[in-house]
Amino acid sequence: MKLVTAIVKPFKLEEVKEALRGVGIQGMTVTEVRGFGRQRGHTEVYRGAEYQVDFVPKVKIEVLCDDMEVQGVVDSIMKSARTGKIGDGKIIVTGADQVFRIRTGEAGRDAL
Amino acid sequence: MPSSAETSSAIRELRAERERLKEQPGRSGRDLVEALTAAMDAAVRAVWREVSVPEGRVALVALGGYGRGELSPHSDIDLMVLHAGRGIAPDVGKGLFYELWDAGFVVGHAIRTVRDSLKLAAVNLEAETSFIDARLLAGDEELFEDFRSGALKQTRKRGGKFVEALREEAAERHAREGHASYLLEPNLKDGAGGLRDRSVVGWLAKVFGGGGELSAVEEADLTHAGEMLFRARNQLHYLTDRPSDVLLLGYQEQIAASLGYRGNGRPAVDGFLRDLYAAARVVEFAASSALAERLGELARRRSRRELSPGIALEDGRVRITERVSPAADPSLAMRVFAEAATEGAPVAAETLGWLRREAQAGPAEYAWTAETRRAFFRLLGAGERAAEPLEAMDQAGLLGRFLPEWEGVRCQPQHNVYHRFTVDVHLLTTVAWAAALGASDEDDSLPRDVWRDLADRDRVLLACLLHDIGKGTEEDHSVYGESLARQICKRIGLPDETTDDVVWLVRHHLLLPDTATRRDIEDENLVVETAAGVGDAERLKMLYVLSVADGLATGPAAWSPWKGTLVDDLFTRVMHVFERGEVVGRDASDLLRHRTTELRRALARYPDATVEAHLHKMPRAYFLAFPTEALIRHFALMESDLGPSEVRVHWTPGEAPGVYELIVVARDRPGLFSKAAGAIALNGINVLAAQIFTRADGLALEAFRVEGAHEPEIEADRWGRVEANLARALAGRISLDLRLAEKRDAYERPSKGKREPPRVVVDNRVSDFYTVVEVHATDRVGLLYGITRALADMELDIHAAKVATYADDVVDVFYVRDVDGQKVTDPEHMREIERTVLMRIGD
Repeated sequence: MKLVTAIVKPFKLEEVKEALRGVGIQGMTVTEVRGFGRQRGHTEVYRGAEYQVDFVPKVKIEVLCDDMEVQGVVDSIMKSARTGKIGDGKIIVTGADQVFRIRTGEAGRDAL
Repeated sequence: MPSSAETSSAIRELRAERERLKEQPGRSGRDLVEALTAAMDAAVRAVWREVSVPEGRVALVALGGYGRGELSPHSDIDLMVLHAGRGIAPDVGKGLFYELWDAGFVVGHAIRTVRDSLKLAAVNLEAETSFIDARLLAGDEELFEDFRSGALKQTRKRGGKFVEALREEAAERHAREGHASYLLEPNLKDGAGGLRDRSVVGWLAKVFGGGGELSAVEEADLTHAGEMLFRARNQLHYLTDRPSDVLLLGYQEQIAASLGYRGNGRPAVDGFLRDLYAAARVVEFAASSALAERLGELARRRSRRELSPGIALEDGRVRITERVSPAADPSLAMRVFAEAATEGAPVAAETLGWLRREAQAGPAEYAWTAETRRAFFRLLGAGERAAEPLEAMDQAGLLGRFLPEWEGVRCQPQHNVYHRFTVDVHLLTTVAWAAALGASDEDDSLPRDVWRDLADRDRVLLACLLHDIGKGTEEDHSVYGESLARQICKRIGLPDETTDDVVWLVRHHLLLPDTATRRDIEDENLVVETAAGVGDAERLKMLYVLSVADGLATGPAAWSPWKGTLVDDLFTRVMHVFERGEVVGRDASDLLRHRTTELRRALARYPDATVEAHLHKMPRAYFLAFPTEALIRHFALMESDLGPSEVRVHWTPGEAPGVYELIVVARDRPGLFSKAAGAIALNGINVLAAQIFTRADGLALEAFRVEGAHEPEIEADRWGRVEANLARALAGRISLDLRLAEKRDAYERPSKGKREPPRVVVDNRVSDFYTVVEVHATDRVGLLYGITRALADMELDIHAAKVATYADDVVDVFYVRDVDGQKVTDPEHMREIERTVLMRIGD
């Protein structure tokens, strides 16, 4: 099992959600996050005064999936979150050793 | 001592009675607590007689809620055994307590002498207040009377200290438990406006004497409000089978149903919560004004200052000194709250009580005068200080007299994850937040700076007060709110211009946060469209302040630095559109609609699909940049596709003699603009300005404003040569570099003494979407070609160009983006652009 974590532009959330649903993903965790990568922060200018923004708002999406599904999940995020401009974000795939569903105690793939 | 196995018959009877009461849902709340108390009394007295009638002077006393006779189904039982001190067994009363404990009751118990009790009351507020409600259950009446009068006398003597302690306790409790009057999950006992606040009113009356004129709330209203709280709490105890006080969301529906609420098309729970909130507000109002009033009375400072005609500040409270019924002069009722907000002092309970009675007496609607308006906006503008007077106004029932539409949102609960407050409290909080933005002492606070820049803050404040006024119906609240806001502005008597802004703000109050979170704000078209929708910079500033205040007033779930940053970003981008003076005024949308309609009509003979594709794929700014006739001409050039080295050129005389508009259409490719500029220069034509629009399908339209380099008139065949040169250059058949170098050699270069060396500035502050390359140089043949050739070498996409010639000096400005469609922000990259341009145009 894998944990796929994607950091995407906020307005892309709906599209990514739909795309993931399209490849059969049932659930996901979404968090409003702030940070920076190569895009760095930026400066907003209002009437000559500068307002420094160190951390750029992004949305973090976490999806648990079966090893077999990873490629489909990554592809669908890649496709739906892409604008081709700087700041499109990242996709991180990590191994999930164990997964449990709290209510039923189911474990492993059954808990996905 | 009897064990639990042989439960006394009294306890069995108590249980049976309690079961019986539970099965009688029709009872009033007051009735039930009294019945529960009576049942408990009977059992306690019986057991007391059975197990523990002691020798000597002893009294069994009920304290606190039990003493008041207000037992809810799972309330604690507070008991005290009072004794005279000598010859009393240390375990007196124990038999009774065990019996109750074994039966499953939570019993607070104490065994004290009168003296011990008074000592305790002097240092423990909870004990002190529980003694105020003491009631004799059995035993020595004289002993009880000693205790009761002693305790009361002691508390009365503490006077101001006691009231101050009560107020502190209430403030702490409210801070901890929140407001029962508007929280989504109210605490019915300890929240502001809960049953404990109702007890506070009772204690003050018992200790210091009746309310009368000094009370802001009529006795009957308070009783009625208490009844609502009891009913809800009783049901909550039954439902949870525990002494619960917090009305959690999960219980609300069932309790509403068990209290007989039926939703008529709306959730039944809304009706229940509205009644509950309204009751809690009466209680909260009664308690806070009673505390303030009592403290004022006890302070005995006797200070008095006239604030305005008929209104004075007396002992720290704002009071109406010359009573004129609001029915005759409503401005007085508004002014007194404006004064309170300005002074940061509460309105005297006596004044509030009088206003409340007057409001109830009618009329249903108060007329607005100029004086009322002035006072109203002074009140709204007082920031955080406005919160209390506005709440008092609401509690006194005055807000709804001035703004009848307010009744629709009063106590209206909101069922979503963002809102914690009722609609009306959210609206009042938004006003307070807006005015408070200006007082921020953060280093870089964009909201503060925008607030300070506002030309007319009254409009924003009113929009803050009204933005959700349309909530509580099935309709879209922004749309319904718009019509209510118009009605209200009319009632207040505001000028049309103010009304238009307020109404527009109410209608669009979600525009910025919705756009910022759901759309790509790096898309220039979106930003320009947003600017066009807003209309002008002043409206944008007002909308921004409203958005921030609304978010902050909603709570942390709705407003975070995350969202704030997105909204700030969108705001500054849209602001820059206005600052650049682009055609986005309020009429721009109308103009755009007008032009596309005309264009559709003029192009009726073309297939619909082709015309619509053109309309949708050309950037919005394009349709605003040219008159309709020009748009029609352009379409003819762009209607059918072109091959890679095909080009279409069209010219028309411009608005001034000697000036021409030249249109070049070709498939977009790197260096297209440069080649066009080269072909133009090659034919002795000067470019004055240029704009570039690229259709989404890759067809580029370059519009040049040009003049003859040597003579005012440009003959027709020269345009044909431009087209031919460009087509050949695109096909790689001629070298513009070579041809222009030859041409340059043929002309003497101007040499007027010292020449400034060329200068290139790469700037990212001018535009949110483009890097601006500014070139200062001395004019010469093919200069524009050279510069743009350098930009093409750097794979920069030119969006627009402005060319200005002052005698021999030229300032050319280019809006460019890199190969990824981004601004160029890397300093090294910027420097490389500068050097490449200089290399091209240098000697």
